[in-house]
Amino acid sequence: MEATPEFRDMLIEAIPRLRAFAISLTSKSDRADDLVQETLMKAWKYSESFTEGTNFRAWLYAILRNEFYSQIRKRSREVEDLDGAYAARVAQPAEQHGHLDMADLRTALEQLPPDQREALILVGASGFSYEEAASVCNVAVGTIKSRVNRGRARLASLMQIDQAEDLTPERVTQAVLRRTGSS
Amino acid sequence: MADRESKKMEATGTILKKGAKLAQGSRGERGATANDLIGQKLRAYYDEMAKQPVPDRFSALLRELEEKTKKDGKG
Repeated sequence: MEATPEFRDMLIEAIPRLRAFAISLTSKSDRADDLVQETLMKAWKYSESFTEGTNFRAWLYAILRNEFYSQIRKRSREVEDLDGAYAARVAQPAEQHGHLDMADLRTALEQLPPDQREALILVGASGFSYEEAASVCNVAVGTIKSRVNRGRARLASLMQIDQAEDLTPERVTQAVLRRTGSS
Repeated sequence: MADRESKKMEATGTILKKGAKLAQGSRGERGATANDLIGQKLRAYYDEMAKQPVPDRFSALLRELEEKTKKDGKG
């Protein structure tokens, strides 16, 4: 659609949650804001590529995600120790209202592989369907489902939520293999 | 020897299938509760972030972009 006032309003309405997505990707709110700014500029510039009546949120989040990963690629060419630099820069953007629970969740989220964290944020936190999340990440729906499942399981064990943990199929398989192996 | 080996494999296969079923069953109930809890926490976490005040720079940027579009349209 054209870059009309209506389009602008759609963007404005989307900003708070879009920004939450950016913060969860970058773990740092000033970088997140740069990311949101870039996304808004791209969205405005390429507004024609959005077809009215299709999923605006998925379209917008995909722009932000692409921007994020292209920045990482660019940075990784410049900075060798990307992971180290990241770890050192991990910030606490919601600290002022984060009670213990939230801090735990954030710490646990940061320990997940980026693809699982992203899938969990999209599906578990921001309410995207598996199909929408798949279109944002440009992967198959099954891939998103498996990332969400693995991410959930990992979060549960990190936060010691899942009491049924010792009965996950993996554990059972391991136990059975051990038993039959020794017989 | 080979026969014994293949019988053992078969037995392992059966046990594995049983094990997977068992795990799935227990996961069905208890796993769902854990997932609900994680889902709740994730949504609360995300909502909290989304509630943070949005910097003015974004609305300023959009105004700027709008002005520019208007000007370009006329020119």
